[in-house]
Amino acid sequence: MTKNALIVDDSHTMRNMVSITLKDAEFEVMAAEDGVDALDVVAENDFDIIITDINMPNMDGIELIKKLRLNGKFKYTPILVLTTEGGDDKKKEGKNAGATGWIVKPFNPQTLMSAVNKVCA
Amino acid sequence: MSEAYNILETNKNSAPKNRESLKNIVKKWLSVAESQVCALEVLSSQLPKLNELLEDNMIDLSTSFNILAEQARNQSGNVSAVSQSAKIFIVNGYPTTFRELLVIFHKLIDDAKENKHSEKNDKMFNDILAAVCQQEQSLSEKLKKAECSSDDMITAVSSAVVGMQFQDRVSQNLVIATNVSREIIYYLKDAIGITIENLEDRDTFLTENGGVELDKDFAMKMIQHLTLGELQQKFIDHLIHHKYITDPSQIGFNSLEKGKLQKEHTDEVELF
Repeated sequence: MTKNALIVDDSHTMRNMVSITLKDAEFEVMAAEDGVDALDVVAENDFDIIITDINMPNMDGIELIKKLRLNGKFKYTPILVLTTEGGDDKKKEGKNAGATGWIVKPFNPQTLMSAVNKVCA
Repeated sequence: MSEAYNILETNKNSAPKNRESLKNIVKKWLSVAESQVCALEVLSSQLPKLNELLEDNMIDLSTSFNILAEQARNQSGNVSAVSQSAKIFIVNGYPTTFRELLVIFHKLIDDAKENKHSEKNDKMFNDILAAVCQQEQSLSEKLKKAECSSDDMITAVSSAVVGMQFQDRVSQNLVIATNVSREIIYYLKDAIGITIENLEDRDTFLTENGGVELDKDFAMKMIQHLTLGELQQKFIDHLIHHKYITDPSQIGFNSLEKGKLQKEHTDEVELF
């Protein structure tokens, strides 16, 4: 069964790269450029997994994760953080906000898919 | 900081006591900014290394793209071979086009309808079947080869793209951050009536003009943000070199704490 994924990142290149990786694994992919845009998208669509950056304008990834977890529809949806931030403090903040996992950029497509498959299983 | 400067400008001609207080405020800001610049200069010193890594990376990218071009050429050859194979059948040892094959089939069918049975026609029919089977096998092999070439191309593209993710952004941000802080330093020194031509003179200002005490709490916070141990040490060395401190323990940093402060990230993926 086709799964739906949402990628949230202010970088057009990053959105494309993750989309290509997920589409190769037969995901249907939608994209948003920041937290505010993402909330608009999730209001109209369901997703099996959400992958988000942290440092974005208008609304950052941490804030987005918190809001998604308050939304009954996405309370248990796997949310992976894909970011350049690698420090323990930031990871802890993400975990407390409700992130399912943390991937540090630059990412290897195989590594990303391995993580996606694990959390979507 | 601009507010402090504005206050100072407004009160240029005010009572000496007020000017002294304002000068101390600006000095305090200066101390904070100096710590910032130290941290940023440490990061900036990494830029040559970063450039070197970028160059290596560009070479790797270039290699990946060359491989990609080679794969594309191979793939083009594979597609041509498949196309040619699809057009030519070997019947009874002779290359036969699909159109010629159709003509033979129609003749065989017509003979069969008119009950014109012959050993020659049987042999022809068997030869054609053999040719079709051989063609199918040949096409399968060539298509499989083309598929492998496609996989190789995808791998080469991925390899190239992974390497292009963020180096330029990092480099630019470091340079911008360093320049902004340098500007703040010049701005503040101008505000307290000191003209410094270049940052090399700041040591003279600090040591011979009453000194600007390092904001130790802020310096310690800067160290905590430099999560790599190597950068923490460089920051400490920088502070000592510019005579802000003579020993790391003056800002509460020591080798025992070093391990605790080193929060170097090693894992690419962590699932919570």
